[in-house]
Amino acid sequence: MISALQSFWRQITRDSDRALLPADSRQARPLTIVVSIMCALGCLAGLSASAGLRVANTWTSDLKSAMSVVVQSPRTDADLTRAAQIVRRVQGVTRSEAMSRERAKDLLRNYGTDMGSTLDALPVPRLIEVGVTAGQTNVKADIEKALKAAGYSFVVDDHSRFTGEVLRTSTVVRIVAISALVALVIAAISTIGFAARAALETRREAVNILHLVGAKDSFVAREVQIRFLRLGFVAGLLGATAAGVIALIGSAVFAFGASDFTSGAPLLNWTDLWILLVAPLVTACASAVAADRAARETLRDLV
Amino acid sequence: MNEKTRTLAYREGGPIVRFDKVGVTYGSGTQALRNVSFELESGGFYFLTGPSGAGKSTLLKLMYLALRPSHGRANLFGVDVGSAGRDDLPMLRRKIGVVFQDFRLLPHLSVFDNVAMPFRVRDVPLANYAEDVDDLLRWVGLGGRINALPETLSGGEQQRVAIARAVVGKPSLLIADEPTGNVDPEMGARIIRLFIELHKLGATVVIATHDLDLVRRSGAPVLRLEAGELTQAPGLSLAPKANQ
Ligand SMILES: Nc1ncnc2c1ncn2[C@@H]1O[C@H](COP(=O)(O)OP(=O)(O)OP(=O)(O)O)[C@@H](O)[C@H]1O
Ligand SMILES: [Mg+2]
Repeated sequence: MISALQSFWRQITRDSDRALLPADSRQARPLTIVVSIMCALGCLAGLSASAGLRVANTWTSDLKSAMSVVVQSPRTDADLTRAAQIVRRVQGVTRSEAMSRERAKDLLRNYGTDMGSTLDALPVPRLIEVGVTAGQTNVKADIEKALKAAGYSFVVDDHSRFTGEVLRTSTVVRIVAISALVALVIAAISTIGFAARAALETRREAVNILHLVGAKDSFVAREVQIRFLRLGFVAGLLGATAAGVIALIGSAVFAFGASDFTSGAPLLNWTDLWILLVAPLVTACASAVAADRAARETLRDLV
Repeated sequence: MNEKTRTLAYREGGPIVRFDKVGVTYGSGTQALRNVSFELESGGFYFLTGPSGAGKSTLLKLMYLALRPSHGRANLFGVDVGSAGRDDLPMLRRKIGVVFQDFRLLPHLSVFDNVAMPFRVRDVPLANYAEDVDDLLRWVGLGGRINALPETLSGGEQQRVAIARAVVGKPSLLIADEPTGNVDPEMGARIIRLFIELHKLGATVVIATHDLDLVRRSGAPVLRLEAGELTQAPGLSLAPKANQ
């Protein structure tokens, strides 16, 4: 592993004056720009996928550890409290509290409509707030069984419809981001392959001379590969840096307009840094592999 | 052809080059060589002469594997050039040193790196050849131009770089196409002496030249081409031209 890294580094920093195939900055510069843009977009896609997953997880984990039970027309507050106690005894329940009529009204008011005194006239739903251990699967059924046995009529809401929606949305975001990433990798590899072929065609005479003094195809291919390994690494560094800057700006804008609902999940997280760190290495390797393959193919029908 | 049959076919001291009714027709339709047959003994020293356009460079190209014959069979180091696989060529070429008529130096590389090319394509570490390259460049009078680029050199100087590159790896077959065409007689004599040194070390040497004086003085065997046909060769009993 160490020696692989060392040889990688040696190839990146090798004395370029002595490269057997002539360099061509007119070709290398635009290619570096194109590849770095692809890499930046790839990093952003990766960051989006990761941020989307994190946001969805934060939202749903809050909701998954909570349920609410709507008890239909309990006769008294004490009746509701008794129901809450029954629920509390169910395995996996960590908390079970009867919600006072006032708090239930407040909740309704929160929907924004000023209903004034009409609210007093309405039958306010009587709720039990239930906390459960996350990951417990049959709590809902157990609660239902217990309450039914005690003769209540009720509805248990485990938010599964909402969390399902959030998870579906986040999955779609991730699929889109990963597809974009795959498309970018394919585009980058074809671009590099094309450029490697062109590089050999324009250096035909040099390639012929190398062959005539005894170079193997693999040697010439390696010369091309080293060049594109370097180009990929530089482009990857540029792209990852650009993506990092864009993500920081986006994250700042996001935090600035954050609500209670969203601020729990920052767009950019330190753990996402690995995406930016790995990107230059992946770009360099993909570039090197693509160039090597294209070079070997081109050499086979060159002479 | 695999390694085994190759060694079986090539015996030390036997012919290093064997052409049998070889013909070359270029894409343009030009018939550059016709029915060329000869053998070169391993360790021999040969001249190749003939008027301009006779096909000398074409014949040499076959010998340094830049070209495959259109007709007939060309055999090098016991390997049939026409049917040798692409992967067999580098190993054969490494036994051959070539001075191209048009030098073919790499313009972006220094004199030193141009000469070092045969080592570099074999991944020989710099320390193992740096001294040889320096010595050889001094010997051909370019000791002071080691870091120069080819375009800053005169034609004769470029030719000496090309010669240094051809001999630096001590090849067993040295092929030189007009190696003294661009240098003064004194440097010409020096270059020929270098080839003779290499020949003494066991190399087979083939030199294409217009310098008939040089050929006569050397007393070495001669191959002569005229309009693509071999009219003189060692051991060739010359059939009347009309027969061909
Ligand atoms: N690549 C090529 N394509 C087409 N025709 C060629 C090519 N190279 C050489 N010829 C033709 O083949 C013939 C032999 O050329 P060649 O270069 O072998 O002659 P030469 O004996 O080396 O001449 P010179 O003494 O001038 O170097 C000439 O008629 C030339 O025009
Ligand atoms: Mg010629």
